[in-house]
Amino acid sequence: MSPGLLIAMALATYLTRLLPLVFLRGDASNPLLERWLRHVPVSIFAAIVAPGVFAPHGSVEWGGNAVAALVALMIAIRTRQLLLTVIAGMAVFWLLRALGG
Amino acid sequence: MDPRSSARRQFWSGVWTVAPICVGVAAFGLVFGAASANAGLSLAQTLAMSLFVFSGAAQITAVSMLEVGAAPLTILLTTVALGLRHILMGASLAPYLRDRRLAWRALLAFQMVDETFAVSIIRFRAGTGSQWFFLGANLSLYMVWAASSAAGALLGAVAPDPASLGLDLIFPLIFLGLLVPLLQNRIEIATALLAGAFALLGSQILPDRWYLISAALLASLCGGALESIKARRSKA
Repeated sequence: MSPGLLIAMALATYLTRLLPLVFLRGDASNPLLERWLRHVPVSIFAAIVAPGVFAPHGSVEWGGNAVAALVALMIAIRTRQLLLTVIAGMAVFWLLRALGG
Repeated sequence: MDPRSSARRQFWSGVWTVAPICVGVAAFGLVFGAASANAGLSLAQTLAMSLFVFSGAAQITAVSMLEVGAAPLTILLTTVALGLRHILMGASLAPYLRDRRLAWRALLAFQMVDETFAVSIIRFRAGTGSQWFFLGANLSLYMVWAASSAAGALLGAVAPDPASLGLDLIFPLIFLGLLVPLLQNRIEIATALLAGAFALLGSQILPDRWYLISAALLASLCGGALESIKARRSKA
């Protein structure tokens, strides 16, 4: 890997992180913008969750990931505890894997 | 109240909050380090990537592409595609950091990743966030990532394969756990469902990780539209 590629990757990544923080001051006087941005976190989180749970190996499937996530979802709704949610989900996943062989 | 002690408390709160996430990050750092070594990168190159790029997705993708002989330009373009989601993240954080000096924003931006963005935006929206909290979270993940990358490169073939251990499920679970408390009304739930559906569809028909930013953009716009409709209805 050339140093040039590394530098380019670093710069490109940094720019995507920096530009909005430098140029966007979060103009609160625009309600449309504000309404849109308010839903960005939820959208990003859900967009990360769905493929990881339903398409971990590329194609859409209802597998161990989905079952584990379902249990994790119920735990999350009940306890609102991040650590418990993750542990419960992983436990179910490993259990299913051990049972399924 | 002494502002300095409050800053320190916020900093350590950030560190503490991402502690469970750091475990997952360490596991992936090991994997990245091993993959990087296998692709022929030196320890210095591996560590440099983790220190200067600091993006798990971009780094793992890059070394995988190097392994199969992809052209540097292709790798760079993929990196940019993967980085686009940061623009959305920065945009949603911008209002809360607008009064901070440029130096702060430049530093925080450098180390912002999905997980530190997630925990910070939640705090900011609850009114308890600060640049110190963000910094604590950022620095923790940064150091864990760098250290585990180096360790992975040194351990080489001994590092575990995350897929076989199912470790790649950890991050979706983390984000699921962060997502649920945010779903406080029907519009939020609808937005999340839309984002999930778009992302799933996108993952099947779009290359690389384009599905992430596309789904997030589309779904958040829908969420905003639903809010506008609701606001107009309540005015009528």
